Amino acid sequence: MAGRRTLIFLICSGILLPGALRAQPAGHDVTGTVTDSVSGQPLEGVNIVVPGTVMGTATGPDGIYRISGLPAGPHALRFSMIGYALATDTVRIRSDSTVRLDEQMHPTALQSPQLVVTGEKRSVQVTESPVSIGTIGTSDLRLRMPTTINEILPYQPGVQMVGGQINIRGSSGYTRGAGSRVLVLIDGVPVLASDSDGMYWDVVPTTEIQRVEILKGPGSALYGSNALGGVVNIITRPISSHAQTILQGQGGLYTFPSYPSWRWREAPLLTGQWHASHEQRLGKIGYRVGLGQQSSAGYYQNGWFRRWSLDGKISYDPSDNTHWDGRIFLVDDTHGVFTQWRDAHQPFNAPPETLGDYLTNHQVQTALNYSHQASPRLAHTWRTTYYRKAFQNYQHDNDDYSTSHILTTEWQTDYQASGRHFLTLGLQASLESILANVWRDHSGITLAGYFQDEWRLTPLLRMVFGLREDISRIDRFAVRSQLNPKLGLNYHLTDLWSLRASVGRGFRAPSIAERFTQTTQHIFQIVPNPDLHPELSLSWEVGTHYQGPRLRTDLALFSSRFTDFIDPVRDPRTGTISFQNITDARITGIDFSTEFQVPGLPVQQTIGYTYIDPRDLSQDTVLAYRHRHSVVTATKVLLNRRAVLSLEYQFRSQMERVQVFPTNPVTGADRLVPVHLLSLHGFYRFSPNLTVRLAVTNLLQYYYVMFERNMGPPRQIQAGFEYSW
Amino acid sequence: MKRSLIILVSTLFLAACEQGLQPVTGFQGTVYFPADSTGTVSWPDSLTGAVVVFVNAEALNLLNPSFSQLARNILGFTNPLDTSREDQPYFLEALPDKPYLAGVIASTVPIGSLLGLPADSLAVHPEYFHVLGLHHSPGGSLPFKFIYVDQEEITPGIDIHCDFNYRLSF
Repeated sequence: MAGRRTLIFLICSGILLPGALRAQPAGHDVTGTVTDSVSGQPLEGVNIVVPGTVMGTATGPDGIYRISGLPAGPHALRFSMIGYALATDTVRIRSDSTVRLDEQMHPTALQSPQLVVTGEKRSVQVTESPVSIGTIGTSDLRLRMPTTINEILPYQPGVQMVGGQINIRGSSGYTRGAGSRVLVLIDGVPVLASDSDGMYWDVVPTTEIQRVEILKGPGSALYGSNALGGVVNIITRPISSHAQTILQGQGGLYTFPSYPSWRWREAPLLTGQWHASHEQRLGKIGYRVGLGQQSSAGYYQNGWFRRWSLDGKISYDPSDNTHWDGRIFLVDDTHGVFTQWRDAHQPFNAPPETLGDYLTNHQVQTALNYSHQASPRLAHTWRTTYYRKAFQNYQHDNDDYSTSHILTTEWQTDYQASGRHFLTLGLQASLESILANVWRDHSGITLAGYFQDEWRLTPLLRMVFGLREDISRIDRFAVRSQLNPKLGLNYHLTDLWSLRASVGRGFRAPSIAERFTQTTQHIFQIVPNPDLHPELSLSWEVGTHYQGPRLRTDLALFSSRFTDFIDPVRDPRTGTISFQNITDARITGIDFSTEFQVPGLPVQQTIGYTYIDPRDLSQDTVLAYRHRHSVVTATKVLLNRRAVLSLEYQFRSQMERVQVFPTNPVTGADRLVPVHLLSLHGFYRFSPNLTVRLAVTNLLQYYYVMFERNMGPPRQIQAGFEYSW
Repeated sequence: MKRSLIILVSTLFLAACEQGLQPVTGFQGTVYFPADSTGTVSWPDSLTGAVVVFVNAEALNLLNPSFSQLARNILGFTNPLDTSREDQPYFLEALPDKPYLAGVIASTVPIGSLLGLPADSLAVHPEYFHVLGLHHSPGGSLPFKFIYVDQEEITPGIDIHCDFNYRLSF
């Protein structure tokens, strides 16, 4: 039945797409210059969209833009840029072939982006989204200087990292990297490794990231498996219109533990990284190449790493309506392996027998994207990506290795059917192959089709309906299919304030690692369970969003009911661990965030609070590895036009349950504590070319465990610079 | 302005008040396995690994010792010991001012996989385990010695000498 549905879907798509491809752009051009209303300077990188069509563009370094192919008649153009108020202006096209529209944009105190692309696979105003979306903009990335992007994700309300695994509203817990309930994308393309479904955050250099969007809630109706708890979309920066070379570097150290017995090394615990890139445009072709290196002694024994990265991006614009781009990331990483501490007396020491343990990790991630505006109402996007990841363990008790390949190609068509309906249609296919001793050799194929209708019921009420079917097969196991619908509503109370509601199904196919792993790591013996089947969720959310020039605030109530939840389980007879569809679970909660400018002061305040009630319904207990309460605050002081200082605080309540080493109620061993982290970030811009930065994380040297027998990072001090010419 | 200052000061105050994890109390020592003149330990084929455990001595019936009784009163254990080494240090976290007994237990099934199971589960399978030795005073008349931990301190010298033919008897 499911196969027949997909077949019909594919046939319809096959009929629609060739006709769509034949459509040619015709019409008129709109061009102009976008400037800052205060300084009068041209603005580069302003996003411009024409609502009611699929058309859009961005300004070049001289602030100039051009949109081609618009039909005669009145058109609204919407201009957006982080740090500026959203602007909308109208242009009336008569018989002229080119119409000029200049725009002045007004700076605002807040740095939140107004347009997001992740919720509906196209650019949508945040206040029009029926789902919760968090964003991390360029300014936050540059301020916080992360080595890898996962370091700053917990500054977002509702987002936590547990042992490198991302949790959105408590979805994932901790499974030692096997399986993820959050899908991670780079420029809209999935980048989870095909063997473990884990995310290797070092695959993309942070210097190449323009912004990050976080969809909080299921995204399977557009993105398929893994988007059970949410989606993280890492968006790389475009190639600059002018030639430039950027050199970035930073160095620092972890301070020694306050207690002498915890000190594990006499030499300083140094960290360092640098990245150099050059980008240029030669006519219609633009390119960027970059090279970087990162290294760290680690803050715990065997926590060292050395990493090289090579990255490149190329773009080609053969016409105003067609765009090609490709990118490649190569990462070569070697790092020590730390499974758990030696003992509570020496919590930063590794067990003696593991001291020589390390692993190597090589990754190649490439993508080729094509987009074409066939007419003002029709646009196509084609994305193809290939990801190869290979690791080899050199550990005292195992020499596990795995090499995985995944090739994914996707076609997406956007069609403005009428003034009220905007249709999105897509097909996706993935081929994967895995060669490994730890979970054996496997191959698989996934086919998927999706459809989305954005229906503007009234000028103020917008409904989004979506549906996606995934069909997958691993080796010779039975074909599995899954249909995931979603429905969202957004009602605009005013231009700045909206209400939203959504309901949707999420699904996650078990990873190869969860089904087939057979290994021993330190004291953990893991055995396979090939009969594992997918887990499902049904989620709803109601929320409200306000975004004005001095205040942004968002409130959401949410609930997700999971069935066939996959979790690691210890066999009481043998003590071995395997992944099982153990339970039904429910996570209900509140997510609140606000950002405002303090009146009369150059101070921006951000506050976020998330409460979750993570229940294991089968066992009537709480789900493991979740923090019930979390708070994030940031007080950002704009000292002058050149300097910014930000004081940030994170609180996470004590985990109520862990799975392997719970707190011993008699001896107090394996004690868990809440997390309190205070951090300071700042930068000073000496000139347009030179910026220096300072960061102190865990300022008060607070000690906690991230999960059992793994200490969190102590105080880290870093200084860095960025020089461009 | 006032509100922002209150938030900032409250944040700093909350963060500064919390101390987080601190050094623990407990005892430490060295486990010695019998080795030949070259320092090689010849483990019986039936044994797969060993850990140091400690038990609440107040709860034991010292006149009628048994593995089941020990297992039910286990308070904690180390990671599996390195079976290739003749001697190795260990540490166990324990609260002050209580009497404990410490010993080495070996297993005939993979011991790492059994860690974390409830004590009752261990107690019902005494056939899986062998006691290789208890901490005692060298030359003393008793086969065990109570261990006491002082406030805010680590008690050193809790060594355990193992014997693959050890028989549990008080």
